[in-house]
Amino acid sequence: MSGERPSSEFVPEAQEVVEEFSRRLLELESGQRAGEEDPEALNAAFRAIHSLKGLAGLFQAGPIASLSHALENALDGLRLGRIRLQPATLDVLFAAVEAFAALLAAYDQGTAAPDIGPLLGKIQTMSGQTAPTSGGRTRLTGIDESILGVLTEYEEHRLRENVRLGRNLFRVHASFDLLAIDVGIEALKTKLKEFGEVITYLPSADASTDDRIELDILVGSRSQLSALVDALAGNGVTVHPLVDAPIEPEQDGGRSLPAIDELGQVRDDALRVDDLEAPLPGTDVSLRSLSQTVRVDLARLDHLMNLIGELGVVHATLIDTVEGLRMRGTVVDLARQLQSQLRNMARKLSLLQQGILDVRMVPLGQVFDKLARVVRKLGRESGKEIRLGISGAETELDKLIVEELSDPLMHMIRNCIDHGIEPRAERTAAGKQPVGRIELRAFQRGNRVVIEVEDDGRGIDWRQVRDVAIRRGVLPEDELREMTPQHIIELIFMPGFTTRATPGALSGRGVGMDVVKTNIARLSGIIDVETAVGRGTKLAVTLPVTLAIIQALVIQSAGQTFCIPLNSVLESVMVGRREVQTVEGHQVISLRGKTLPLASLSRLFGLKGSAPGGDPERIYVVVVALAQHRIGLVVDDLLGQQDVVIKSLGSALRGVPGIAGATELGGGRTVLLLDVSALVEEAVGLTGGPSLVGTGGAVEVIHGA
Amino acid sequence: MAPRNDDIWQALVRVGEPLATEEDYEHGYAREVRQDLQRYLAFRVSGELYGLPIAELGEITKPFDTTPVPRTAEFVIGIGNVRGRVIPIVDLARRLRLSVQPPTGNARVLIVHRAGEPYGLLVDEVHEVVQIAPEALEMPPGAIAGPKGAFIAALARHAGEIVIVLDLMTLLEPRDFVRLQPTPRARA
Repeated sequence: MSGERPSSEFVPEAQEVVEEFSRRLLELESGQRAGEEDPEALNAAFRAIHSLKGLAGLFQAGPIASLSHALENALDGLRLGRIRLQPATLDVLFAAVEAFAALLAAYDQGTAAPDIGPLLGKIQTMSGQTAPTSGGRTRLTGIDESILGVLTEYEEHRLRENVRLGRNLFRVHASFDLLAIDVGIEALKTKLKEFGEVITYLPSADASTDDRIELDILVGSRSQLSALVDALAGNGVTVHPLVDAPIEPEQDGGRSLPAIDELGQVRDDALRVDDLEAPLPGTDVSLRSLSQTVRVDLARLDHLMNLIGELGVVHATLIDTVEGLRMRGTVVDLARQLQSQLRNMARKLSLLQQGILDVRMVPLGQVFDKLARVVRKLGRESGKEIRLGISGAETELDKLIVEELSDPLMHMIRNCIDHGIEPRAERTAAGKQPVGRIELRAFQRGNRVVIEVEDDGRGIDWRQVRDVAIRRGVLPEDELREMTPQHIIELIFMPGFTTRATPGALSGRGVGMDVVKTNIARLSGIIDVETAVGRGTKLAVTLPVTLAIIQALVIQSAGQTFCIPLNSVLESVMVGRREVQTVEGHQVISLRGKTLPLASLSRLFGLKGSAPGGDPERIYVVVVALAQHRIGLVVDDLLGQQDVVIKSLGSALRGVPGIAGATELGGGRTVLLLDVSALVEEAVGLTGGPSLVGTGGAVEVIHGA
Repeated sequence: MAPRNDDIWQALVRVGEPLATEEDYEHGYAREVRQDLQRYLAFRVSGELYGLPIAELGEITKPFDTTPVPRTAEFVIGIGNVRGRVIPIVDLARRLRLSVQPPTGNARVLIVHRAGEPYGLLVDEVHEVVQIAPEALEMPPGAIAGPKGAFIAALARHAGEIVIVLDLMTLLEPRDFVRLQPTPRARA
């Protein structure tokens, strides 16, 4: 790859273009369902593929170039109405998105490109089947030849489409000052778009003067003439109907022309995509991006540079001040100056820190777009019709978290489709809408982001979960019988747990939900389930906005200092030793009427060494939570809260249970950051770690808020 | 052997200069310099002489403050901060199951790279940089079997002493860092 630009730029840039293409296809599909295709979406898809072709050519990525070339032709045909858009066509286009992903992965890893021959064949077949050019097309009677004569093929096609859809055609005549024409046209265009589609701009037949330009704008709209006149007329704009009498669309428009129907039939067979998906290995394995590159808005980087500049000034002043301090004896004044400069510096530094963090933030929409594609694909594979509602795609999260999230979210969506949404007949029988709904929502709550995946399917029946758990011997039966429904539903997060008798094609192999939970926990996230039988299931993932810097509670245990992520701390309390009770050998306290099991950090970690000083009569308890489980971590002292930068421990120490990372607390002190979810799991005995809470259901774990 | 001036060694190690040995001075620089000589840093742990290829070495520092990490193997001293990076520090004597010597002022931490990640190795004393020709390396004799043998990449003779060249891949195997947990509960 000897391009002028480093080839490392190619993959991320191409991925972005492919994502844009896929987004436009989804728009196109929903437009098609609604019966009105958005020509803008089609044009944007065409532009995306056009630029991908250029990009692939530049980097000599042969198969990607030939695929985009074939697609470009096909999309051009669609744009010009030579090919009709139908579900089978969209399937081929979506198959191309998957093919691009596989080709880019191969390019990135330098492996052999997968065979795209069959797909290219389908695309060419599609492009080859042009609709008949005359006879059976909507006739454009009554339109002035002087107008028809100057229309491009695309404009003429759009004109026909508007007639076919039964829209009214208008000629909007406008006069603009030559000096302000761009502003004027932009304003008018925005207004016109509210009414319908702008088909073309034509120079007016009336003579334009030297300082004014007159334009005729052809508009297709469902509104009546009077509505347009009311909204637009005046200020040099007049509205006229394009034809005296509305053009009658052909019977049923062009939709049921026999020739096209026949072709459509042929196409449906020729374009079946099932056989296309097999030869593209690895397309479905992971949705994570191939690249670690973050493309950054320049304004954000400029902001950073400015801050660093200011910092330099502060620093210089500081050096002068210190120099003055050394030369003269007037220490008091200078010391005060020094102090104020140092404060200033600290302030700028924290802004700098925030700025750098902002660079890492990306909108969740990046993942949501990929998930929309997954829903579409899985929906078709499982024969269920599903609508995906997305909100909060603009919510921003650390790039790292967004990347790590795509796989767990995909598993969650798979579960919704496979286990949640019922087949059409079952839904109808239950009195539900035949089309299943999945809602994907994201929103910020404080310094955390919540992502919800909600379906309106059959919900999870806790009795069924319990029966499966008993049958599989997941936990002793008497223990299961004593558990609350909420607690039982959480069993779906246990490794290997599935309620399916046989593994389904999509999920049901029992590897989904525990992977989801592990991945989410690795991001210091919490996952909650809410479900109602027959009404649906909601999975809510709560995540910190950023991984790099978090607020931490600094504590001491056996003379050693640790940090606890503040977002997993519910509260910290000081209790007298006499309040600690023992239930079957395990320490508990009563906190606001509820029993809270205690776990001593020094015992968990096997720390030796005594607490220096401290009140022997009192202990500190940090209440931490994982989903519905709470425990009280007993520590020797609370040292305060602090913003800390999380540092990885590297592969050698990553596996130490209960430790999430390290951080620095001033003075070069390196301190360990606790992995609260692992510690809680250990304490309540959900994992194979050493248990502290006993062997049976002896200690009631507190549920709910 | 009197302790060498670390700073000089470190500077030479860093710039990758071919080091002139006493032999070079004896024979004068006219002697043809072999191109295939590998350079190793030799250091002492519990009286024995060990070596690591210079290429695997990042820097040499004096021992610094570390933070102990619970639930790790005995040979893990803890974590330390080297220029903003948190790295695990290994007590080489414990790792090699040698008797642990009382610390002296000559103790150093070698920062090495394994699979692209830095680790610190605590050694008793840094000896010198030696050049060893490939043919002077011997495979470890089969007699040194067991886990200790796995840490040895080769043996070399230098100035009448045996230098044990360590294999970082097995020496710093991540699996060995985490201390085994007490037996989990039967039901889990």
